[in-house]
Amino acid sequence: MAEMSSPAHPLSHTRPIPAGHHGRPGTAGVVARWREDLAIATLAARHGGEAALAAAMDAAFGLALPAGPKAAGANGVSALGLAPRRWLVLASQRPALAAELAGLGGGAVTEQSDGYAVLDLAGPEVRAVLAKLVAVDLDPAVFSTGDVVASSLAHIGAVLWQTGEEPTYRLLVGTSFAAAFSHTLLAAAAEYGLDLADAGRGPEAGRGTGRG
Amino acid sequence: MSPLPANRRAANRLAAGGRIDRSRTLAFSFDGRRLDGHPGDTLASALLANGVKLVGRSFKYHRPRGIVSAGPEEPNALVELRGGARREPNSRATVTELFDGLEATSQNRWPSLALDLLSVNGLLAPFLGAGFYYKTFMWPAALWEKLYEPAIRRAAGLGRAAEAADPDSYEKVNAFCDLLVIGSGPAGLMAARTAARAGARVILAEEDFLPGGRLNAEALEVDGAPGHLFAARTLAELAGLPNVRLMTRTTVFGVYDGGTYGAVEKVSDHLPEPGPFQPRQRLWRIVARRAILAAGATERPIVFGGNDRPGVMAAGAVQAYANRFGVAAARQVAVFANNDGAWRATFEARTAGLGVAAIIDVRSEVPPALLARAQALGIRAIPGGVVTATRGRTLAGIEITVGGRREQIAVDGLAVSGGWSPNLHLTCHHGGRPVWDPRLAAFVPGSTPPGLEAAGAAAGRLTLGAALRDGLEAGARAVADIGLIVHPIEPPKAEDEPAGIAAFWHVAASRGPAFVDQQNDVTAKDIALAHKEGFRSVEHLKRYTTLGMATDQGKTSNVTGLAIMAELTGAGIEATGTTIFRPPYTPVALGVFAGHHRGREFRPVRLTPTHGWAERQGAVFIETGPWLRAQYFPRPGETDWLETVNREVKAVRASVGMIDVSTFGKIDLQGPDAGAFLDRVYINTFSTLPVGKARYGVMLREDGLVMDDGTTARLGESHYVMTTTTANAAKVFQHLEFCLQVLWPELDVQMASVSEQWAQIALAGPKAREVLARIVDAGTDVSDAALPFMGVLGTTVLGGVPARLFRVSFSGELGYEIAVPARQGERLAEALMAAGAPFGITPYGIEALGVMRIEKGHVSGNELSGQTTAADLGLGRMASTRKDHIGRVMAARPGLADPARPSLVGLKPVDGAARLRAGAHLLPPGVPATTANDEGYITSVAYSPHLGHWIGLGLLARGPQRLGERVRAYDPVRGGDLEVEVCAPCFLDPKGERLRG
Repeated sequence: MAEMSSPAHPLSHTRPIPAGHHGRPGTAGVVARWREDLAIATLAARHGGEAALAAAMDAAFGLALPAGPKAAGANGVSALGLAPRRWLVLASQRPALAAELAGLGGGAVTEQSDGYAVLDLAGPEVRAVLAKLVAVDLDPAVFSTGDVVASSLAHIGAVLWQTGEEPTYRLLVGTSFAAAFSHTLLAAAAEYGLDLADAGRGPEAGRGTGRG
Repeated sequence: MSPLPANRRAANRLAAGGRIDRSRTLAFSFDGRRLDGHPGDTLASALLANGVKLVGRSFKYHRPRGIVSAGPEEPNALVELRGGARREPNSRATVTELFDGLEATSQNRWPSLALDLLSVNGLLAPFLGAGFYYKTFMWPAALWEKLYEPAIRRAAGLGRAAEAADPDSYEKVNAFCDLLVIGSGPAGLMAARTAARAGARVILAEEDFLPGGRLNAEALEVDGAPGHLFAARTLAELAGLPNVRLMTRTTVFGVYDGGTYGAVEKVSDHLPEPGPFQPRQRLWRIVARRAILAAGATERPIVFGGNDRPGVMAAGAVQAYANRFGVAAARQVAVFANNDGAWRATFEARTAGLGVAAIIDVRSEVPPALLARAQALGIRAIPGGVVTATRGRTLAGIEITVGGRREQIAVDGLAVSGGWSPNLHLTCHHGGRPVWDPRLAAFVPGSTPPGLEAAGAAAGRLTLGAALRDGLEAGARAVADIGLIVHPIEPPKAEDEPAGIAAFWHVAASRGPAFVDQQNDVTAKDIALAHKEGFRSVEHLKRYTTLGMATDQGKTSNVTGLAIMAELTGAGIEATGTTIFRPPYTPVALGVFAGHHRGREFRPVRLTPTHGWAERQGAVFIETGPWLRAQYFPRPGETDWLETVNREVKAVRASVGMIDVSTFGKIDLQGPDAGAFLDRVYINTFSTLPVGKARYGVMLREDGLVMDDGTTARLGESHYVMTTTTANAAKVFQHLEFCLQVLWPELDVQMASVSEQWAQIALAGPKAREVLARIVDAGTDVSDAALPFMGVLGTTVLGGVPARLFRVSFSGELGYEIAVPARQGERLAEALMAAGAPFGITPYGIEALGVMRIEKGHVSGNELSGQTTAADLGLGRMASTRKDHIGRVMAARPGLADPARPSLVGLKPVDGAARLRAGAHLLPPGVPATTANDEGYITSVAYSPHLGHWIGLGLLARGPQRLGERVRAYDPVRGGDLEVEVCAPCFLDPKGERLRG
């Protein structure tokens, strides 16, 4: 992928690509932004505890836990169905999410806020770019807002969630893959132009993963 | 190159016609000669327009060859395109889209195309026949690699690959559709239009840069207008539909499982080089609910003496060059055929302006309408005749024989047609076998891959009207099949042109070499030889003569070759059968299969949470699986890695060191049955582990061999966290998922991977506790009493950062593993460095880690090889006999329970200065080094700076009973052969006093 980098900004494969415009000049076909403000936790129902957990989630967040590979959200909290009786819960500006969930009882909660690198993706060519990365039919008739898939993107395990109609997507990859994924994204998006924004969460953003 | 004025016409360019843009001129070169063409030309059409007939030398005999076809089946006109790192050999001139500045070079000739010294091979032809290599280069075997192969490769070869790395990029794309239509000729257009109008998601893939197929190459009418206008109109309609993706320059090359099709899109091959940020080619993985193969048909030759002379072409190619490219492939042509279609091709060529000397048809009876039309056009018709010889450097004349009488005819072109073979290749990709249709004298598709149907000429509907109707019907069937409503569509009006044929393959009584497979130089005589020597089945025929094994995969030669064999055996074609086709349909560049995954991007690299910190510390990194880990941390003045590693090991054992161990797999287990679950997957018991303690565990595979090991800690009554080895992290997680989902769904256990969530740093050495005490938050007691060996503590560090402290040790020293959220990993590393500075804290890499674990006799990946039992590794006594666990029953098999199995021992060289090598075999002293005497091997070695010599771990038959014995470490690969002493695997502090300190 050396041909994708300009001599002025040699890209190190051990660092995520820097924030800014990459690839074809002009209006970017894909706009991406790292998210460092999200609290993330896995939530799994105990045997026979699904109904109680659903009721507790409804009471606490007004959120109906989805059945199947879908997202449901309310009040800044979203639950993504990953497997039977298993969800990934995301919330912004809610650092104690895992503790709040654990307090509900009825489910196993595992802190994952540092486990994922999260990218929000938008732009007119985002669907075309994702088609290069994931073997999932993203046609709106098949995969639309609120749909979630756990799959492999260019050999990187990932969770892909369509967050909006335009379309917009949120993508989660393992923290250790953040740099590798950013290079893969650029390789796919370069022909359309890629605008990458860092999370901008203050001086500590991205520490430890080299992001932002 | 600056183009010539547009008004100058190349010698053989017709005055008008063709789907080319005559207003623009493209300059190109062939063997350094500067020539012109137009947009819309292929390299082949532009060469013919310029009167270039000799374009290459043949593979084996270096015979002069010209352009035979106008399509992807081309066996002869292979050239090297471009230069330098972009040089691409074996490019078919007939499908190479002309661009301004194109450079092409003829290949397989020396020193030049016109004067090729290796053409003396042609004189040796009597000795170079079928099976020549097998018969000649048998012995001495020593010469195979040194002499025969290099010499043959130099003489044969099909062009030269570029020597520099490919400068272009490639990529892969996924696409999904209801209907994939392969080919955009009459049938493909109708299928796509029918399905598209019904609302289906349609992909229409066309390998040519100009869609339309035969509608561009022939002068047939559809709905009363020229066929190419119908094609253009239909394509415009399709292009305007949001549910249709039109893909030109895209070859569907393979049919895979589940309706998956492989296609390659030549994004930039028609440009001098790819545009900025553009790949050269894209690999499309198309998943289609239904597919229609509308790939048309390929014209076959008739085999006769001298049939490879430049100027001898397929009749349909002469027609295509005239109609589509406005090129006279010759000024004066004769036609040699066995079918009606060739007559029509001839009439079109004549109408376009070519001179036609005669039509020689092997049939005595030709439809009167054709004869009348020939007469009207002033073309001499010769029914019942054959061509028996050709002459000229490029074709200057032919000899025909009719009614026993020979006649010479002066022509510079001979258009040949032996009939048409449906392009059914893709129907064979799931093993489907084509079926012989004697009416068509052709193989038609047999059983097809699920979801794929052939239509039009590819299905044997060779005439235009039939192809249009067939495409329409196939498209309607496909979409009805997937539940869409098809509104009736009227098929366009087109004639079914005369298509009578009489099977005819080979003019046996002709003079000169008669080529069946021109690309591999296989002659009719070679087939006769194969027959004589007993290689008569089509599979033997193919391999013995190499018929159909060149880059064209015998598109023009397979059927003719097997038909000649069928004549020789008298078995008939149906009984003789045909070889079948595998992917790819046409050659595909390997780069496109790699896509972006090459060089550093070969696979995604995983970085540890402290990677940036380690970089700043000057670490040297090594790939361990997908991870990049710090191998060692050299300091100025250190001259080799061993010096660095020795320093790191000594520093840890003398004071304190640290290493990132985040790469271990980490699995969070919760639920009331978590303990019971662990008891079933580990050989030892975890349900009895107290909260706040960790235990080393070993898990087996179902077959009784060791799968993985690691420590698992109990964080709460129903909450455990397991660690796995780095290498097996994903495998163990998958195994546990299988156990929970399939074996014991009744167990109430919730599992989550937390490998990515936690950064984990091991702190080891006698000063480890003092360093740890400086980073934990006030109120956390890390004394031996509060955090004893194998103790676990949840707390905070660095002012409120949640942390888990595990008092475990891999090095044998007082040790802790400190886990913090991954984003805090670098902060933790820096804090430990600062806190440890007074003690000279030393970051160490996985080399030092390895040395210390070997000194302690701990097993690792080399010993957990998938071939060892717990007993082999000295861990057998860990197994609880009071419970069942995975692998328990199978581990008791006689072979696995054999006390003579090679088992873990320590090894040290008798000569203290000698270096041990992992992989060396262990033999009793004084016996020959044979497999029968093999008693095991060395699994891991290290230089122990504390002992001052090399040490090793190994697996030795009855090893534990042989402590003190001497055995031989035999390493034939590296020439090692030395005496070693068997000892206990733990070389340092066997009582473990240091780690409990």
